[in-house]
Amino acid sequence: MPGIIAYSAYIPYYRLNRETISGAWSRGRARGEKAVASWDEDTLTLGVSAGLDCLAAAAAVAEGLSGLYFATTTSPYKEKQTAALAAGALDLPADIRTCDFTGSLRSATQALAGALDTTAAGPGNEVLVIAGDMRQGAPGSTLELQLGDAACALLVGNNETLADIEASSHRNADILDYWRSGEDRFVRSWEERFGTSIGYSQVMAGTIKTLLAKTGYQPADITQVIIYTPDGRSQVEVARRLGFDPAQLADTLFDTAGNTGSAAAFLSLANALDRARPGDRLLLASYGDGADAFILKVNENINAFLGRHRLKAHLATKRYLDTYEKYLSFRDLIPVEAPRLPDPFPPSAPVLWREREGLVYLHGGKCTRCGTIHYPPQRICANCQNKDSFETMKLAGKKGRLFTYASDYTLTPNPDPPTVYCCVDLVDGGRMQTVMTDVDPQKLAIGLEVEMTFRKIFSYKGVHRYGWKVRPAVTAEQTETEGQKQAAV
Amino acid sequence: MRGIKDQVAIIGMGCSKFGERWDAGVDDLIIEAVYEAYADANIEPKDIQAAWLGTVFSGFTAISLTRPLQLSYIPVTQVENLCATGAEALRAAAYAVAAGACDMALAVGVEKLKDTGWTGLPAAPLGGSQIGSAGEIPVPAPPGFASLANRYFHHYGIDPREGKKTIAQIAVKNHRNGNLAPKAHFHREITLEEALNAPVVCWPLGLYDCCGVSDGAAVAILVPASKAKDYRRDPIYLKAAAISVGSRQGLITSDYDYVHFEENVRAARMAYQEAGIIVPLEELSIAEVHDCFTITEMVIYEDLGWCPRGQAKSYIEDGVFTREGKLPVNTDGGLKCFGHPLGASGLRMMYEVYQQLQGKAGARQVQNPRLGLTHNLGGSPGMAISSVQVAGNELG
Repeated sequence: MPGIIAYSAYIPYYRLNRETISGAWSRGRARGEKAVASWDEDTLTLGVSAGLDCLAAAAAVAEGLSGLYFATTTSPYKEKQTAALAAGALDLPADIRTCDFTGSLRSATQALAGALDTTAAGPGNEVLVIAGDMRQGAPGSTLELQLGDAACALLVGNNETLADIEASSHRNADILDYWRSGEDRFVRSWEERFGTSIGYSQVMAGTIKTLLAKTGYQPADITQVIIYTPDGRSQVEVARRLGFDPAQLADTLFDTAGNTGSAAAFLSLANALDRARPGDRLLLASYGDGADAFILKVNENINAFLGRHRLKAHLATKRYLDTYEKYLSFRDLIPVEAPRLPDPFPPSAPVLWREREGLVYLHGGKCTRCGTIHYPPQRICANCQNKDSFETMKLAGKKGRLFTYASDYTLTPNPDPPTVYCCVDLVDGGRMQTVMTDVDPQKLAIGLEVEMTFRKIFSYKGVHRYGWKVRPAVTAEQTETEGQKQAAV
Repeated sequence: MRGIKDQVAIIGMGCSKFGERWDAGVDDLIIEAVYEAYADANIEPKDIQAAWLGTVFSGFTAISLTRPLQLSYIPVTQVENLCATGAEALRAAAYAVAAGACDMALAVGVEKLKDTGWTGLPAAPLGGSQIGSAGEIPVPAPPGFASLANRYFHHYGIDPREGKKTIAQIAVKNHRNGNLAPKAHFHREITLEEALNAPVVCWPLGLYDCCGVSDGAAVAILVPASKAKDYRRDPIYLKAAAISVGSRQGLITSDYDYVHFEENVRAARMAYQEAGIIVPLEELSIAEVHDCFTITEMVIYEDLGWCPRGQAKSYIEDGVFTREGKLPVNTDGGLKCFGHPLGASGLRMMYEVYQQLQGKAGARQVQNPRLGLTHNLGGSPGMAISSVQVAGNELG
């Protein structure tokens, strides 16, 4: 039976306390916090982060990918496929199918349904489904408080699954509740009560009811109920209406990450799977221009799954944006003084293409004669001058240590200084000159363990130049100290 | 390899006032320095047989030199070698004279930075051409050299606050010297406290650890050494002109330690060999080195063999490189006080060596100098261009 071989959820490093927003607008109290993509992240990079984690966790069991489906409502380009960009950054084979699912908050579960169809078509087929979103509410709006940024990835296939997908139901419904036209920068909505009562509650409940009827399951047969929530509360009403005990509801992460759009249902699912036991039955339902619902049965592979606590680490590794202005500057919503220096050279399409191995795939080259590892790839060995004889080294999963660094607070435009320029020695050999992101200045020290992260380097006239940076390694140890710090606060 | 020792002499030099020259364009700076050199050498413009123009941002082809000077139909070339550009112009001219290709050559270095409106210099792309280096994130100079300082302190177990105090002493020394150099941009002595309390540009580098952004030009006129006395009684003889260009190995291979510049070591080795110098600290009378940042000057002391590795701190504390010390370094205040108009700096340094060797350095004059050294460093740790040139006031 097709199911999930591996899953991951990526929560960006920054958080915004909802009180920071409501305080800026002199509004009342607001509950919880939302995840905010760093200024150098976008939907693609969030998705790549989730995809890297998922593929790393699945490395031992994945057999061969036949597709990458990318689901989002906030593609970096209106015309240019996000999935193909992600396939490059994830260093996936060129002969797999890539496809974007977009235009709807339900795009993630639509991509999942598509992946199930693909796996049904061939016993060896595996599809990586990535869902990521960073939707923007207008400053001062309710949506601004609600919407958060995150990405998730599911590896779907027929073999070595940890949760099998037993059944699904789908429904489409055209309701003008949330939308964004080509000209809209911010998500727009009709009066929420209309969308929630006529759209969300009715359509969601109807779809789940159909699925339960189809499978013959009673509410008590479901261990955890994962229902997408637009607002952090309406899912409770849907669950009650269907006869579920609210205690069965899985955490939507609305109070910790926000409404993460296309990623939201998967994010809640990942969190539920982190807590699931073999034999558990999960219901997953998402909403957007209709609804999709699935029944999943968890099996014993869940216990050995390598990526099981990565979400916990991402949730614990965080830094609060201390001001609303900083948040606005992250999203480029306030004009800032440009540096008095010449503009960067615009990205050149032939150069980006020619240098894709180093730039996008993060390949290094290991000299076949002397073993010296080079990044970026060179044609002549820096050590022995051997020509054009290098073995490809995949560096994206490598950890490294800071050999030296410098914290620049003033020279490089950065809404959250410092910009940390650094020299990193990779644990298995090789050296990278790069920039650190997601920095906690207090932790900076020579020897700090770092990992690779795919980021937007800059945008120029609508063209995004992506590349690799490093960030402090998100480790169990770090999770613990961050957690203690939180507890102390 | 016979080298150029004692084959080429400098018979005239000129140097514009350095600073924020709102009043002067590139052409004005060139004319100011070149006509001082013509007068110093007592020659006419028509005597120049070939010329080299060194500039990074302020010129486009050799016509940038021929047009303001109205040099007609002689061979002229523009050269660029990052921060060693001025030294490169001098080296090219010296080689032409040594080769017998011309009997009088003009080397000009100029940079007009203050017309750009830039804050500091644009970050240098680390590899290849500017357009062809899409894979690299350019690093501005201060973080590049702050990385050197952070690693240096770590490597030698120096407490960073203590290390900051050590490099601040270099700023204090250079400002003390620069106060006596009329053509310097900055004329102000600073105290150690001022240096330590100045705003941080990129930790541990504060404002006074970084050189300024200035305009300037400097010029040398070269003839074969055998003809030098026809022009003046006190010509200065070139003893060595070495350049070492790294291939950015340090940014790729992990054996680079970020506490030295291999390019400096190699350029110094070449220059000492060419000049016949065995114990530089004993034999050199003065040195002008590339103090783009104070930490750079500290590392240069070690790279150029003036003190053992890791011991620059105690040499600084002992005052070895002050004007009264064993080897006065940056007697005119260095880049700290002249700023760093890239194309001009190497020739400006030689201008100071020239004046010192002729005993014309006024209040800055060191006692009985015989040999002087200039040093430039372009690039950043792991990927650099280093020039070392030596000149003396006697043949042999």
